[in-house]
Amino acid sequence: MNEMLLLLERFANAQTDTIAAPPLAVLEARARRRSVSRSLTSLSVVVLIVIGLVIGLASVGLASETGRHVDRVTALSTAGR
Amino acid sequence: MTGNDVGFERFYGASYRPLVRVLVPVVLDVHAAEEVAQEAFLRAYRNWHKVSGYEDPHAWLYRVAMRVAISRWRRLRSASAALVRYGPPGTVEGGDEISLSVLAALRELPLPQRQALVMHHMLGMPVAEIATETGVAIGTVKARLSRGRSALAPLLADFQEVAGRE
Repeated sequence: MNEMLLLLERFANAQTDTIAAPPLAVLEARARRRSVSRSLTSLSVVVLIVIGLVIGLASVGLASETGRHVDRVTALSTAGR
Repeated sequence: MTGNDVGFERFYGASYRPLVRVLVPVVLDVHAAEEVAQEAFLRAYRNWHKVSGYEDPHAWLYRVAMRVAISRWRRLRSASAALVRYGPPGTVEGGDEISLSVLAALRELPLPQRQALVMHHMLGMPVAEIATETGVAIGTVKARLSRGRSALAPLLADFQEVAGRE
């Protein structure tokens, strides 16, 4: 349907006859910004994972230490009796 | 500047306006069309080592741009979000009487129908390829094309008359 193509092209041409491509530097700057923002996002994810691991390991260590301490107190009190 | 950069610069310079021209009937806004085009070029730029080796880098660019247009439309489907971000829809910049009538008719169609019309009539893609590209059934594409053509059909007679006078 050639008329449809001509109709759409006429509309599109009327809207775009004055536009020009922005300088390539604009695109390059945008690509650099996008890349930096992606790196920062990945870095934040890694930092969050590390913090989570540290907190998790510390809680596990603290729990086992508390358990050992309770056992020792129980043993001492049993021995005292 | 490497040969690769020169290749991209040439590709960018030659394809920018034709891409925006194809996007305008889809997004109905010159500025939004430019935004979508720039996003597509950004992806081409970042993957140029691969894209430049394709048989038809332009076909890749148009496909990516259509996907960007659709995902942008999905994001902004809520009218209030679109109004806040871009102002009223269809802020195209004038044109002759026929163009304004085409704009009015296109505004009545949802974006997937406009996209099907453009992919089929402007990009010359077969129905099956549009179905694959947009992830819908062939019957859906045919229905979208049919509704789109019905919306524009009344304008064709006027257009032929005007084109005949010119």
